[in-house]
Amino acid sequence: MTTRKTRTRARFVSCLMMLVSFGLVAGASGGCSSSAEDDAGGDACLSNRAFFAQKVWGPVISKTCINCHSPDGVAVEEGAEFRLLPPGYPGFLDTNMKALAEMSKIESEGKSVVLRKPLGELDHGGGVQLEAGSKEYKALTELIQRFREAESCPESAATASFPDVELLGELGTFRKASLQLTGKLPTADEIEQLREGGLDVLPDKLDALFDDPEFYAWLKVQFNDLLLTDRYLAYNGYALNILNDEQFPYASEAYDNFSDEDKAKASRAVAREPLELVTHIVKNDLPYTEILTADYTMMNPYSAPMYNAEVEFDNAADETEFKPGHIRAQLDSGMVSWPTAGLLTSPMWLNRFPTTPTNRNRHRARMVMQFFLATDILAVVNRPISAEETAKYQNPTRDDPTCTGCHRQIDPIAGAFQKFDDNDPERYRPDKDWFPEMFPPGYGDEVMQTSDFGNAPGWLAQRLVQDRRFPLSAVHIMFKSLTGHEPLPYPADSEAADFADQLKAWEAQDATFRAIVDRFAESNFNLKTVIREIILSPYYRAKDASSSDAARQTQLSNVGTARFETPESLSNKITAVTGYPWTRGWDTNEYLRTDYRILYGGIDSDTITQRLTSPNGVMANVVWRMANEVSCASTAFDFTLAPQSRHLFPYVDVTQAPETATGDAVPDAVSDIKKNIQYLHAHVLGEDLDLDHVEIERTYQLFYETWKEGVEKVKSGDLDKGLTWRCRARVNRDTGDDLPDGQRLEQDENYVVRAWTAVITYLLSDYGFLHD
Amino acid sequence: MQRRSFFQAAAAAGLALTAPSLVSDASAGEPFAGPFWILVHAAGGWDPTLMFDPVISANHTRSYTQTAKLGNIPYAPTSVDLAELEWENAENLNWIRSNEAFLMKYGSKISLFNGVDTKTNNHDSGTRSIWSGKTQEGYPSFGALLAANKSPGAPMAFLSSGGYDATEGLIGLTRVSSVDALTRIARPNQQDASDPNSDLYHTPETWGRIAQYQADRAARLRDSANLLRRRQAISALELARAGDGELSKLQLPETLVDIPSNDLNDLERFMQQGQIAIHAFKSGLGVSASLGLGGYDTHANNDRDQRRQQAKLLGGIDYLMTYAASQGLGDKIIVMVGSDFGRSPYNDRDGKDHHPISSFFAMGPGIPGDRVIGATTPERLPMAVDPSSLATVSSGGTVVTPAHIQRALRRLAGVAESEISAQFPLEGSDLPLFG
Repeated sequence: MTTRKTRTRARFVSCLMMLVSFGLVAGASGGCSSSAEDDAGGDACLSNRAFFAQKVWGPVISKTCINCHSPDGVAVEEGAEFRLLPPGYPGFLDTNMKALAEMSKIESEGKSVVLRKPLGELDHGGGVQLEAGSKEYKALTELIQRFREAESCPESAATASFPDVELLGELGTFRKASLQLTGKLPTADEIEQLREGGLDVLPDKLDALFDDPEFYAWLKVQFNDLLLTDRYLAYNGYALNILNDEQFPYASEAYDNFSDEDKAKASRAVAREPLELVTHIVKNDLPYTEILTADYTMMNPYSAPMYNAEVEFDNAADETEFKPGHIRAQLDSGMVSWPTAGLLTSPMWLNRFPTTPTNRNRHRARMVMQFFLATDILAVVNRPISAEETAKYQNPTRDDPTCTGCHRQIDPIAGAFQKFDDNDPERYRPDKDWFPEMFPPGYGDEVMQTSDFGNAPGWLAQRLVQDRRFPLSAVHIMFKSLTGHEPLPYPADSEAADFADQLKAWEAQDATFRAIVDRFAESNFNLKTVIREIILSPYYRAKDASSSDAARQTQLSNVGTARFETPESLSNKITAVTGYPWTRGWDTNEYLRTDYRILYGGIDSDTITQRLTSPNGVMANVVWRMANEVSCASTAFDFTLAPQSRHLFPYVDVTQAPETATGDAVPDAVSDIKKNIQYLHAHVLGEDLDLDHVEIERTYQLFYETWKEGVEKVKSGDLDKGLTWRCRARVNRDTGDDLPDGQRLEQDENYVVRAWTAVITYLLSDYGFLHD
Repeated sequence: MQRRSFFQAAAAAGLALTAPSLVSDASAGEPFAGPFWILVHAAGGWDPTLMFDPVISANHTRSYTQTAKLGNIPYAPTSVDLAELEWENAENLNWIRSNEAFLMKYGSKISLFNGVDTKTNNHDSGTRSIWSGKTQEGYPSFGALLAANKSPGAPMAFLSSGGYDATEGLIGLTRVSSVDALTRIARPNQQDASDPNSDLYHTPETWGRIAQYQADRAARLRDSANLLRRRQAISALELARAGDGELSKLQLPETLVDIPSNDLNDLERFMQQGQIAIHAFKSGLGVSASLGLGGYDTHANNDRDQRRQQAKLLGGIDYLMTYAASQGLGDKIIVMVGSDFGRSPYNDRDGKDHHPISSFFAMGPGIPGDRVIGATTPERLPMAVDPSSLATVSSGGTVVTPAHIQRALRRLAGVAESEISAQFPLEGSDLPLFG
């Protein structure tokens, strides 16, 4: 047992640790004593898991045992039963603690082998790793003792709240989620219901967003960011062109002979089939596991023939009608069924992540681990390679210890794709053999029987979805989609000055993720559960914190989104707020989805596959141009609408100036102007501000000074009385027809329209508009 | 942006811009005058034996029977014969370069490093290592480090169209896809981007007022934010706006290079991105650029594919240097060229697999020319060098690693001692790689 002093300190640390794990952080009291109280014998304690994380994993195991007992370590290579996972491997902490607890039960001469081997006893291959009197050894000893006793401070997996974190309320949360998931502002009805029902009704209102078709457009963007299959939209017929023309002869015919319009429909459906599968599963509340286990492929009336499939559709001309079907491949022996396993056998996925004759599907296996096991194998197994040592092996991927750590994990998964051609990625080759010099096809310790080779992808899929990393991968994917940030990795440097605070941040996130995974499983792996739970969590809803303490800020470093809007989401937001999209003049395409997509940090799914998540000088200029063009097009036009139909100016009209021509204040006008500014802060930025708030006053000053400047310049003749041509309201933006003479707004003698235009530019270029 | 607010924004963003010289550089409004740095990445892992580290060995060599040397620089005397490269379009010859032709023109300017031990066969790790000096994640590209040190407020400080471009939050990364789109945003208050005399959206006074009010509001929001993520996001926007108005100085060519051969689509893109970078440099808006050319992961048909890509790469670099000279920047461009790692002996598919030993070369102002440091054995193992003379030694000595190269580059660029660089310490010792 530890000394009294050590124990007390452990209690103090444990208090914070537990609170973080429970989501009850600094400022909370209930159940956690202060350090002074701890010194006096407070009853706070450290859970075994927290003790392991803080006292044993970082200072001891991560610096000693892991060097040989990792998956690629010498000890494992030589058959040691004690195996540890390095950080970066999801769930590594729990897995390792469990492994240690199990191993600690084995005793030799009355003492756990876990306490003997590090001292160099029992022929420990690694020799002496710890000194008996060291604090590291004492920590290990205490942990083993804890394993033998009933846990007095069990750790709850629940995540509650962060009391010192200011969260968005029900309206703010819903507005943010609605804009992000559907590109729409809340309706008046939704606002009323949320005001009446408060946070209690928020989950149901969020669930209602999942019924909006735009939600599925958003979902497709998120999964394309992962799968990158929109690459095959680059030219008309691209997806058809890459399907093997012997096995899919209709695709070849369609590419050569279809009209451009029909070819586009067929190619689009083939290209986006993986995204349609995800959509189908989520829309129908099917278990997310089907993204890998589905024995069907999503096809519409245009794509089904491309796959040699027979599917009955309600409307043969409706390209939005997707139904499950079964791909068949035309082989010399006749038409055969495709070995379908969800995304794993999607022709587009196979093409997007191809292999080569010598890569042997390893790249695919890596992507499987990354996408579906939340495991970046290249980060997990990253150790220096000796060119000299590697040169000694004829088959280094199987025999060289510096290679096998990775290949032992990668190669068995690669074997699941063995029946697909090395050079033509989606070509099905049932006659193809696997490579005996590689680790055999399988998963983990399980070796695939040769009788399963014909359905190897399905075999793999069934095991992947049973892996507890699979649901965690869904949480990771959605977390990044919703917050714009990668989950925090386990803090790598236990010597860092702020390691304890980093660890707390990771522990809180880990506790939250584990709780979400549990709910995900309880909902039969309905992905909507993951999305809803992340939105309801502080990671999405936090907008500020009460503490400016540096340590606390580190602990909250990944709380709150501050997500820089993507080109797509900003484009949606412009439409939602102003009523009209920001489009090119010569067609109806939105600038941020075309000309400025890449410039504004978007991807093309081909050569540019990573989004930029913070702005640069060029993007700043895109914002200025957007704000100017949109405010110019929107301001005067909005005034031509009836007040109740306006998006921007429901409380003012163009005659309302803050002062008379003689310079006397017009209190009613000033009041209405400020009321409209208050409305704009809420409508454009989502800010609920009092009329006397400093930001309302700032925006009013911008309006007033601009108006004052303009009136004087109009009076002096330096500026025209009329609006510039582009900023005039001449055309009905809904119909494209010219407005009647009486409805047009082309003159601005009192400069009110232009002053409001400046305000709209100001708000559209604001931090709050550019971030969620 | 005002000097004070820039300083505040930088500090709030966690940027180590507390050194007076850096703040001064960033906020004084003086355009960065060079030298400018172009990082060229041969993506996939090149084969040095087909470039400037030739060897006569049955396991490693099939495309030539003897090595060659021009000045001090060895090279593989391979041709750019269309038949050997299995190309039909004679137009290709106008754009590609052989080793010999390239060295004839640039050999006297090149410092070449052979036997560089990347210690990895992993594409991601190798790419990170060669351009940041560290195989693990978390270190910025040398280009980002430079830009953050030299001119963080420049709107196109660090351009990227490939290679390793992690910024680690030091600076905003810029990608440019089209000249037209860039031109259109250069003067955002001009209603017609192509006509500098067109109507304005706002009077200059109002335009300045909007920006000032915007900056004031951002500063208040930033200062009152206690969540790190929110404060950093506001600061990043402030920094991105530090060069407001600067983009109007950007002078771009009306058209970019157009290669009438589909064989060279990747080279065309490489050249176009290089052109944009050079114009950003010329306009005082950029510091560094990361360019990439892929196609080097040649597990099959190694010699044909490596020679194709290599001829493109050298042609592309020649084009950039020539183009830079035509824009008056001939003596202000430093080009560095590296890859993920090297290639193994031939496999049974006429390909070569991954091998950690690679090469690296650089040229430009401050870089000694006609110089070779390091070497490899016939088995493609690295030979160590004397840490002082840099001569290869048979025992002892130091094997050159990407960390050594990055340390030397930092010194060459004058950023080795900066506070920003200090956040990303590199292993190993200093070697006089660039004199």
